[in-house]
Amino acid sequence: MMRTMPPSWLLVLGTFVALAALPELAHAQLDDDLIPATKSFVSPERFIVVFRGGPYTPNTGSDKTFKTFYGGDSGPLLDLELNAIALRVPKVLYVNVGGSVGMASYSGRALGPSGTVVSEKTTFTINPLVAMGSLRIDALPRLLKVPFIFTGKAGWEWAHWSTGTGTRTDATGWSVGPFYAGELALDLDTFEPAAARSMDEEWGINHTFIALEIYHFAPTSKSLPIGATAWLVGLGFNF
Amino acid sequence: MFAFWPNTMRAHAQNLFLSAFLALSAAFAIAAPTASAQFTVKLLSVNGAAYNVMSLRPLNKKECDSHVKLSFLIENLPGSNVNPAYIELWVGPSGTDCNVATRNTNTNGMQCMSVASKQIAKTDKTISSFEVTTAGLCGDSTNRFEGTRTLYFLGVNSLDSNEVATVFSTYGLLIDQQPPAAPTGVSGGVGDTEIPINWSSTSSDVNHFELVWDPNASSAATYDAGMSSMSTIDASSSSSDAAVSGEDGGTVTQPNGCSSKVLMAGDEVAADPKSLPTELLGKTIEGKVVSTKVSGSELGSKLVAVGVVAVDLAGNASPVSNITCISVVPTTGFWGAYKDSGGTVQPGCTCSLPGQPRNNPLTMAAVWPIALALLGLVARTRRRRS
Repeated sequence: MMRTMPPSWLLVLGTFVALAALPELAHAQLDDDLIPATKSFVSPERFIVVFRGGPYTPNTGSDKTFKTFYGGDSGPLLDLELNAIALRVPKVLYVNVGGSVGMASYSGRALGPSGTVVSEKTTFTINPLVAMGSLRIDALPRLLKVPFIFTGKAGWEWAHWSTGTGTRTDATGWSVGPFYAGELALDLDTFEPAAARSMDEEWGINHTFIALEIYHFAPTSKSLPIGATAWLVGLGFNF
Repeated sequence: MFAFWPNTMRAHAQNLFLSAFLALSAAFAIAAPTASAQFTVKLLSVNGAAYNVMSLRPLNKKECDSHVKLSFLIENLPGSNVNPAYIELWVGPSGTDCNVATRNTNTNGMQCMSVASKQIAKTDKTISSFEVTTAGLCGDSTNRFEGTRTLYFLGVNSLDSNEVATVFSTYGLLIDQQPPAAPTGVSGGVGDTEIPINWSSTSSDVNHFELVWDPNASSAATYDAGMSSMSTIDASSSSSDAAVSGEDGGTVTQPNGCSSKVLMAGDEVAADPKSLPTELLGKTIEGKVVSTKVSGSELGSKLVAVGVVAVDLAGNASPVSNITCISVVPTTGFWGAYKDSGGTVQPGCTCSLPGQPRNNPLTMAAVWPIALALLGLVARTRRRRS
């Protein structure tokens, strides 16, 4: 004969369970009211911007005039690059199109009639404009948590230059030619994923990185030879 | 008035009312004019030039010495047949209250004296021009007044009598007759369109500097690269100093070779370039900066002797600093040297514009604001996925 529990014991147990569960039920219902439905906090990713700078000394080839006047002056070149993401293979690569604008200026002492240095200054200013396409591979940080991103860039550069002595503008013009660059970026999201998520939620910034770029500008033979191979370092954002 | 209010509210309301009454009474007592100050005085012009009271510009030494005319505006006289017959202007030694009747008379040791007066009509409420010269206001050459001189405008019924006690006003006249110290260490460069000039000044009482030069400096110096640090005559040097040993018949030969007959260290010149003698040229350098750049065309000569004068807010000019020489020479910059070395930019390429000299060069300054504006627009208009 199966033994049955006394009804009073069952009643006590049932009451205890019900009482214990009531606050939880109420609390759960309250949280449900307050917390919005689960959703993705990943914002759209459409652009990549990089603020950067670095020394830039035009390589004038056999002509030493630039070095004579501005020797030791390395600019610097300050640059802003903006790329639109044309194609994104998630967690693997980007195909971008974009451009950059920059500025570098140099100053030296002018020469007097007998070739001696005088106190008046002669200046040279370069404002490079670049249109480019780039391939950006970020599979390492996204898939393997290795914080390196590789980018190859190619484009065409129009470098506006201007030179003057004292208040006099001596000449202005454009030097144009192909532009190539390779960029190694350190992905900061890999080190601070929580901060990266927060920046995306608050600012819509998907990724943050430090970029080191080696680039080469080779003006055509008919241009003023102000091309160079130089490096730039900066901070970039995907947004 | 609070009788029908509940007790607690009534007590609070009464306290509040009392406090407000006391505060208003105190404010009125502070703001209300004193019973005896019956009119207001404003300084309208100094030597015919409008005086801007907001600039708080003191009268300067030159204005004091030349006894320039001050014109005051007097308003809010009692009028209506209660005016005194005259308004007198009294001044006294610093700290002397010339408003006390017993000190307004010549019998009281001349502590205060009347320096101007104007007869008024009984019904006058405004005197548009109460004129007085600075004679007697600034002291004399042996005891120059510095600071705020209190002018007492007193209503009297007969000249030099006691004032009508309720008709007077005072005006604080700022006087600064002390010029700043002369700048030192003036050095100039060599160039064509942008020649640097530097100097130093230890005086805190400086409003701006004035560049003064003699465009007819003679004995053209041969410049060299070191001219920007040329040794020069110190304004504080005595005549026995080696630096001025070349002085001969009013001409000082500067250590670097140029000489000037009309501009020497320690000279006193006008604080305003427009008031300089015709043989000198000048330029105001605004602010307390101790460097500037001048162009050869501005200097008007190939060799000039240059000095600097410090000017204070009142317009007192310091003595001329040491004198230095500036040579205007044609200069060659990068572009000239590049072309001279055979460098060129070939014309004719559709993708490469030649470097042609232009007077109105294309500025790239607009590129950066445009780029940043585009970036901002992109960031603003992008939509986050919710």
